Amino acid sequence: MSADTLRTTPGAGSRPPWPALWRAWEGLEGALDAAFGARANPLRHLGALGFLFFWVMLASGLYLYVVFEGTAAGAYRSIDALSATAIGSAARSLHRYAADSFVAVTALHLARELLAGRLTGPRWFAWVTGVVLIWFLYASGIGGYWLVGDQLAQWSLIATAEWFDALPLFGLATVRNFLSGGQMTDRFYALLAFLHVAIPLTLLFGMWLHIQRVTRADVAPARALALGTLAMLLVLAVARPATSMPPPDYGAVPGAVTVDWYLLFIHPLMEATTPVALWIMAAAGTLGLAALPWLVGARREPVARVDPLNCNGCGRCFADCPSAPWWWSRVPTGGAGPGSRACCPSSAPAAASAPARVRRRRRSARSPSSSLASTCRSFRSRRCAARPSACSPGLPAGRACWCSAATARSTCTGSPGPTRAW
Amino acid sequence: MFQVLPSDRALVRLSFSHGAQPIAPCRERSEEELAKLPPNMRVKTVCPRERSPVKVEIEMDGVPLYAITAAPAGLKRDGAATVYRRTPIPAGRHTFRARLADGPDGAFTYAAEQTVDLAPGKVLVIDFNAGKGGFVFVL
Repeated sequence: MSADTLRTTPGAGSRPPWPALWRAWEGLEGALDAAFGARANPLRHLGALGFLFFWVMLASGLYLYVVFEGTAAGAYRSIDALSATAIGSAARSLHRYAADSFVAVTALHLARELLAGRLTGPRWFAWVTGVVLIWFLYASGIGGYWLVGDQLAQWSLIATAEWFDALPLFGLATVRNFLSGGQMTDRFYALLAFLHVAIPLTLLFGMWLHIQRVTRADVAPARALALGTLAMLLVLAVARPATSMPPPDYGAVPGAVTVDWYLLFIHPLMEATTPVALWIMAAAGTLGLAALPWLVGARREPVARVDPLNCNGCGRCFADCPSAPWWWSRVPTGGAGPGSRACCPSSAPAAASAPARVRRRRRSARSPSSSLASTCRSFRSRRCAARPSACSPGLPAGRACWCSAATARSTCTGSPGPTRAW
Repeated sequence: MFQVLPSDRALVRLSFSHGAQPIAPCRERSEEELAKLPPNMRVKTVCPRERSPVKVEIEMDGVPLYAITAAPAGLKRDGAATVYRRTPIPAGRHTFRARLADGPDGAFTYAAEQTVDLAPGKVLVIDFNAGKGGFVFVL
C-alpha cells in the first residue's frame, strides 16, 4: 500500500488529549492529502519543513553575511545597497520569509504533536527540547532585525532592553545604551553579527538534539514539497521584497513601524501590558508547555499485541512506529517455528544468547518493513504463532503492536531499549 | 503597521544611574575599638558601605510627572541607583523642573529647570550626571 494512503497513528504511548480536535486536524490533513498527496502534504511534514526553512536561511544568510558591513554606520548602508540589487533583494527577502515560515511551521508542528498526544512517554524529550528551541528561534529572528540598523531595529532594541531590564539581572538599565546614537558602536554591531551566527548554530544543534529519540525523524521533505515551498518563498520574495525603514534617529520615536508579527509580536504585547507581565506570560507559557507531558498524563493505549491470524503483512505497524522498539527485532522470520519467542519481548541477556542465525534475522528485521511483511505472511501461512500464551509473558505494558487487515490501523509505542545495539 | 506613538505625542525618557552618598558619615574609631582589631586592620576612619537612596522628582508645566525613590543596587546596597521611565506627552512647548536628593538627610541638593519645544515623535532624555553639574536635558 502506498504511503499516500497511510493514516497517521495518533500518538506513541498516549491518546490524543482532545480527540475531537485531533479528528478535525486529521480531516484537514485528509483534505490536503487529496490535493497534494501525503508525501507532499505540508501538514504531514511540518518538522521537515522547519529544517528546510533553516537551510534556506543558512544559504541566504551566508550570502548576506558576505556583503553585510558589521559597523554602526555601515550596517544600514550595506543592507540598503544590497536591497537595491535583484539578487540581493531576493536573498534578503528569502531570509526573512524563511524565518517567518519557520515560526509558522513550528507553531503548527507544536499544535499537531499536542493534538496527536505525541508528548508523553518517550516523546517527552522531543517535546521539552522543542519548547526550549522556541526561545532560540525567537532570539535568532529578533537579532536578525537588529542587524538591519533601521528604525525598526532601533525600536526593537530599545523594547528588548526595556524587557530585560525588568529582570534584576544587571543592576543597571541596559536600555541606557540605546538612548543616543553615539553609543551604537562598531563593536556593538560586531557583537550583534556574532550573536546572529552563534544563536542559529545553537538552534541547529538543538534541532539535532530534538530528534535524537525519534528513530525515523522526518527532516527532509519530499522533493515535490521542497520545490513547491521554495518556489512559493521565491515568488513571495519577488512580489513583496523585504524593505528597511528609514535610518535610525535616536532623538525620535518612529510613529509607526512595520512589525513582523511572527517574530516581533512580543514588543506590541509588552506595550499593551508591562515588561513584568510579559515575563510572566513567557515564563508561564514555557514552563506550562514543558510540563504538558506530565500534566496530560501518559494515558497509554491498551496493551496491544500482534495478531498473527489477522496479520496480512502490510507492515504498517512497523512503518508507523516512531521509535523502532527493540522487540521488532524479535519478530522471527520464516525459520521460527511454533512456540517460538515470536513477538515476545524478553530480557536482553536471553536475547543476546540466541543463536547467531536468529540474531542475524533480528538485525535485519530492525529496519526494513519488508522483512516484517514476510514475517507476517509467514505467520499467516503457517499459523506458527497461534499461541497467545507464548507472547504474553514479559510483554511491557503498552509496548506492542497489532496489525489488522480489517481496520488497517496500527499502534506502536515504546522507546528504543537497551538491546538496540544487537 | 504598529503605532508606537500617536502622531500628536512626544516622549520623555527619565534615565540615569547615580551613586548616592553613603548612608551615614564616616567616623573615627576610638582607641578601645582599634585595640580590639587585629593590627593589620586598625584603620582609624571607617565609612559605611551602604549608599543612600536617590529621590528624584520631575514636574512638567508645574504638574508632577515623576516622584521616584530608587534604592541602590547590590546586596550590600552599595551600588548605583538606576532609574528608567518613559512617558508619552503632548507635543509642544513644555517646562520641566527636576530635583534630586542623594544624601542621607533626603534634602534636594540638585535642581534644574528647562523649557523645550518637543515636536511630535521627538524624545527628551532627562539624564543626571553629578560630574557635569546635575541634570542634563538631551533633545
